[in-house]
Amino acid sequence: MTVRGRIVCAPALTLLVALALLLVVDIQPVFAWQATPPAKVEPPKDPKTIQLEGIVTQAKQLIREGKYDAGIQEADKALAIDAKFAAAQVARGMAFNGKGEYDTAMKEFDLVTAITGREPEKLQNRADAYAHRSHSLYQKGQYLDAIDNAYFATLEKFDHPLAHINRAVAYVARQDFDRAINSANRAINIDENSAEAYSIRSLAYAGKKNADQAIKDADKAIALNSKLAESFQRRAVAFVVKGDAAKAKQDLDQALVLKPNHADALCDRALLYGMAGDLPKAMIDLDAALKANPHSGRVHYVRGLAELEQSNFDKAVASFDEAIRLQEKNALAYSSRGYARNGRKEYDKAREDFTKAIELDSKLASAYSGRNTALKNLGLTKEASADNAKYKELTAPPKKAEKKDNKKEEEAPAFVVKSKAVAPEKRATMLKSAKEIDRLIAANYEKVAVKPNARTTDEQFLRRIYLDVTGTIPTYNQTRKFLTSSDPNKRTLLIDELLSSDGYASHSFNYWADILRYTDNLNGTVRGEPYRQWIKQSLAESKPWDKMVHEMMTAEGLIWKNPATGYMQRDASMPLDNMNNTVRIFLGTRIGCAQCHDHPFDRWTQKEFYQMAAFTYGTLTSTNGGDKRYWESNPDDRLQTEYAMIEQEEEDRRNNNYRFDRLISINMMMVNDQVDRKITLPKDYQYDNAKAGDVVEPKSLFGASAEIKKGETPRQAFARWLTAKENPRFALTIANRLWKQAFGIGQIEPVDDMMDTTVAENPELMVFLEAEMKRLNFDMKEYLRVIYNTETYQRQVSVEEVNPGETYHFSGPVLRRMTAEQVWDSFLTLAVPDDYREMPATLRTDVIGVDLTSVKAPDLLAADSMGNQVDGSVGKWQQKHIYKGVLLARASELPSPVPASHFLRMFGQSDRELISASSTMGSVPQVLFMFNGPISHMLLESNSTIYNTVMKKKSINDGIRSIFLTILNREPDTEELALAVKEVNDNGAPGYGNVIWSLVNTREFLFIQ
Amino acid sequence: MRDLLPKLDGLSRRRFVEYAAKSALGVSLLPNLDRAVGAAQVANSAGGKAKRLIYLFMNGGMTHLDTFDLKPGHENQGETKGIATNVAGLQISQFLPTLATQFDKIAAIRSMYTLTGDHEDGEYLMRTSYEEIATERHPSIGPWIQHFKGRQSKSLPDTVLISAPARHPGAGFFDPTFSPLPIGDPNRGLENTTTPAYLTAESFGKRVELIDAFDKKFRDRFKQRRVQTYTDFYTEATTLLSSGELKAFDLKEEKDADRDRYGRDPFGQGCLLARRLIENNVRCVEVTCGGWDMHANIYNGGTLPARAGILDKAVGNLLKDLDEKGLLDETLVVLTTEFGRSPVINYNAGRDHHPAVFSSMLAGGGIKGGQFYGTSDAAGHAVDQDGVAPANFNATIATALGLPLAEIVHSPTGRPFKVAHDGTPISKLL
Repeated sequence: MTVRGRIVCAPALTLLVALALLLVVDIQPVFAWQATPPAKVEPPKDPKTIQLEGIVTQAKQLIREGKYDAGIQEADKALAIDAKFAAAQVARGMAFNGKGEYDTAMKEFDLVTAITGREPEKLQNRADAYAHRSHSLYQKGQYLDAIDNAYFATLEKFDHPLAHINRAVAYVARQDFDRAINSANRAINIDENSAEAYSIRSLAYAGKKNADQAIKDADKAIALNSKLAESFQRRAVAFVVKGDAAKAKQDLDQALVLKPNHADALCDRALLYGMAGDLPKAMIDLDAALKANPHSGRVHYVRGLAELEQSNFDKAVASFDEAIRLQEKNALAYSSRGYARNGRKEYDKAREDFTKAIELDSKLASAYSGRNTALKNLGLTKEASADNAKYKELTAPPKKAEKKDNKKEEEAPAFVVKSKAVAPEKRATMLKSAKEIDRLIAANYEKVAVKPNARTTDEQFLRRIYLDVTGTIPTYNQTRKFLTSSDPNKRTLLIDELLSSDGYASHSFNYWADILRYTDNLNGTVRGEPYRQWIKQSLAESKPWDKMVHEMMTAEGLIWKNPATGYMQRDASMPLDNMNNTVRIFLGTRIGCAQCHDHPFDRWTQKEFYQMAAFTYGTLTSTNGGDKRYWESNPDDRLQTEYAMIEQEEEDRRNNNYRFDRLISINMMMVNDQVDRKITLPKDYQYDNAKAGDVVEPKSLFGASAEIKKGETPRQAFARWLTAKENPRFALTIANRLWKQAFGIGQIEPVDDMMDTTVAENPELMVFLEAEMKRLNFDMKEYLRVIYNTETYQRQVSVEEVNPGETYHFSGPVLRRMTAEQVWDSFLTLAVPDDYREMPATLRTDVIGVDLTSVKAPDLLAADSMGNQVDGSVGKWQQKHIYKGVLLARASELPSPVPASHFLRMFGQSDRELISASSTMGSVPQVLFMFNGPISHMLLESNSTIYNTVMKKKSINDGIRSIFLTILNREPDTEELALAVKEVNDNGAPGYGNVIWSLVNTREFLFIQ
Repeated sequence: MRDLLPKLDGLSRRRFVEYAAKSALGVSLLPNLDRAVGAAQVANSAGGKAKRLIYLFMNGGMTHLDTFDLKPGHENQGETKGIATNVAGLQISQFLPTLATQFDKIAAIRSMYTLTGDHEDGEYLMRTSYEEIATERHPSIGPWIQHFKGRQSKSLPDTVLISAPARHPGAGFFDPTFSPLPIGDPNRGLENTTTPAYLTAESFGKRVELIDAFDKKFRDRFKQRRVQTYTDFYTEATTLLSSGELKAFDLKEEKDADRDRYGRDPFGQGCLLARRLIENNVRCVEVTCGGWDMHANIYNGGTLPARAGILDKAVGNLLKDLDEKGLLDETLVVLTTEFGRSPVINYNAGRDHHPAVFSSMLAGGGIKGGQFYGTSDAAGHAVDQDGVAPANFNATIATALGLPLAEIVHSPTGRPFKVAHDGTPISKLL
């Protein structure tokens, strides 16, 4: 007993597991010829057809009764009359299926699909042939092929119930219970009275250990047809899952009453006996099962198990041999034969069996355990312990991993910028520059006879500087802190503090996203998040503008390896538009008109446009598999070949094909330069200085010429020329743009349409600003620091309107409506803490970025799925920041573009299609948003930021004052205070709500003074 | 004004809020409310029977072989069969049974073509008649109509977009006040129009009064146009909130049976909402129906039948209702897409992008129904006769609406544009 016990111990344990498993998975599809849908009433048929159909009906009846040979004879009669009568061919195949001659059956079915075309009336036969072929393959244990053949049947006729049922049967065999349920559901949708469909769904639910649903489905199947032995047999399985062996036994007995030679029911009952330790009875049932169906691999397999349990190793091996012959892909059969061979001390052969089993199913724990025994006996201890470890890994409870995942969910990963603080030691120089600006402005006032505006109050300055630098109004505490401070330098200190904060990057990002037309989907293939985060970080660390632009202009490769490539990717395969945009954004010059003809308002000729475009025309945004610079051999070809060999269902293969190809394309989206690619003049070129089709060489528009050095791409030469301090418009443009950011109007207007004749409002000042930009080496933070510290910036806004075409002389900044992002972010400041940040782009790109030269096709598919999972988890992380369907996050953290109906778009945020397409115009939907939008309501709910502030105040007066300080960042005047206090006195707490709601709906809230 | 409140008790909320709106929030500065009245009357002699437009866009590229351009017996046909329409001898797809009963109202064009197989480019071209460029945004049709005819309703927007993609060209280079009003989910209608339950008409009025008081100093100080125009927006908003017209956006006003008839999917409900809006003096409604980009498994699993079924219920019932309500003569219904789908069924049992020929349809608004216009070749691969480019298609729409095709409009950058670019209308359809 001890010796035997040791050998049999592992398989005995396995046996119990296998028994339960087997009850579930390995079943006979018994409905193969019952579920063909009734043919539709067709137009009148000729007598011959009627005769043939009569014969086939008779043949099928015989087959149904188990008289297979007679059925074949009958079908042959039909074929003798018409050799191409496909229905008869189908019947022959069905008969061979019945006889267990599956290969012959399949040949019959192949004939059907070979002889029939795809005319509508032939589709039924083709579908039948595939559906029954699925059954043959299932019987041979080729479950995947069985699934595909059932799928082919549905391609011929999507409402073929038998096809869906047979597919479900094969799915169950593969233990893919969800899909089995899916297929069964489709069969039920086609025919809601299909007992077969409910019956197989019952088995699938049993496989999912959902015993109650399984029993319910089996009950339904039995109610629909109480004569089906299989429904009882399957309900028995459900009862086993439920742990009710008695009821299971009862159902199996009933199944055997209905069909005494039901091999599966006999087999199942044998398993029940085996589990109860009653092996003699099990053997009796197995003998009967074998008699009933000598071709059932399953019966042989279970018989092998029973022999193994009794240590009859030779007999066990013989049974498993037969099982494997019939089901060549049954991993369990190999593994079990391995145990039997271990028993026979044939460790070498046993090892082969286990290895084969693992090949077929890499997660079969029992095979690792068995091979461990075999290897140990062969003296291969190292290999043995590896198998032992694998066995333990597979059988370990998965709890720990789950816990880790939960934790991950709680702490959403966030992309946080690292902001660079402004340098205190530069303050003196900075203030000197600010003074110089004020001097130049004042000199101009005299010239143009304009009086400066009064200096801002602290309240006005505070609100303005917060909005200008961080994009939101200050909080109550920030407001109080500044207004109560008596430090004479408090404005300069606050400017430093804000420029050093993360808010600077957030607000600047909104500004540049508008100009750069940043979209999360940069083009059809490339997602923009790495670029987006690169822009934010570059702004946060105040990367010098010339360096930042140079990086965008010259970046090569994949976006997650070099995020600055996003600039080129945004205009993928539009090199002319890209050059047009580049010149407009960075040089403040519009050459777009010259793309099609000489510029009507400026001096640019079409040829000059093409000369500029020639610099970047050779820059491509993607490579192909044949590009020898990146790949020795074409990875696309290799992966396609590998893809074809992945073992997957045909339907999956077709569906996956798209995402597979797509992920390859994504990994080929490398910005690169093709030096030989030359631009030529368009076909309709109409000027005398060149001919249509002429090759155009690169030549810079103005300033020093851009020499292409040896070993340099034209693009690199262009980037050097573009960002050089000597470029007449590069520093000028950025100096003017940032001036406008602070004052609302540029020294030069429009900021991106300069011509040779353009003169700044104050030319001396413009010269100084440009020089400052260069002196500061394009440090934008430092430049803004200078501007914000000028007296001019700190003056009150002008009361009068600046009409279009009128020159403004900067007696102070102009009144501006907040940008969409400023309105949104300010609302958020009133409502919630600012603690949501977008997910780091690397989380996704680390997954989907693969090495195409070495990646294996299945890993590529898995990478795509994991990428989708990452996207899916974002939604989960966002949940606690979502209020009434709205993600409460700063504008710079939201998708780009947001949908057209989003708050931001209503307030004028750009759709990111055109440069600087944002607007600050009012509209009715804006007012509706302010009146009734979810955020307005949120302000009034308990726990909003403003609510918490007000509720802490002890008197109504203080409450009202805190409301004014929070929303308008100033104290109420006497009149306002009286009115608001009365409101609260009249209405109690809701009165506060009315005051808050009214104040956010004032124009004073929306405009920046 | 506070003294007046008690006297207003008996008044309806609607009248009260209107009153509050008119008396509060400053004096209207701009003739905004009178825009419609002051709008230039455009001379339009030819065509021009249509006064309203419902524009339905099949996003993703609608397969022509499986909808309006069947090729029975040809190997490219796939599994779609034809069914008879109510016009003798004319067949359309079996998946469009409701439309088949309305075919006498429909002119189906089977010779549309473009040169781009890219979704975004195709959509843009179809909606604007111009190729997309990075330097200019061309307007879509609704704002063009508003430009020529002036705003139609005092309180409702001229153009409403239902389920439109974010990249819709919208008002293009026109003033942002021409921007169409986007509605994301037709079931939710116009968002932000529901005041909380706790707010009675009176307390809402009081709040408006508070805004007025708190806002007074600021608006008195800054007599700038941008500041003052908000007076009009406040007034229009309060008027809209209190007007019965808001109900135009509320599908709950429709009978359940009617909502079922159109299909309980975004497109079906979108078409129903379009009908309601048109009935309530909105001039142009565009509804987008996604899901036509069928690269794989179009027949199996019912991707095509399901999508076509959605189209059929929605558009079929829309035409039926417009006809029964006597609105069809003055309402042009357009159904189009960015391109067709490849006639040859691909390896993945789907169809790919195919701009060389595809189908669109027009109905109502003076269009001669019950006909096919243009033909594709036997394989459904290319235009055979009477090819129609997007600009020609849009010129037909513009002519039906009485818009001046030749009139040049300059964008703010000084470039010249026309409503249908250089398209010529298809006279046979008008």
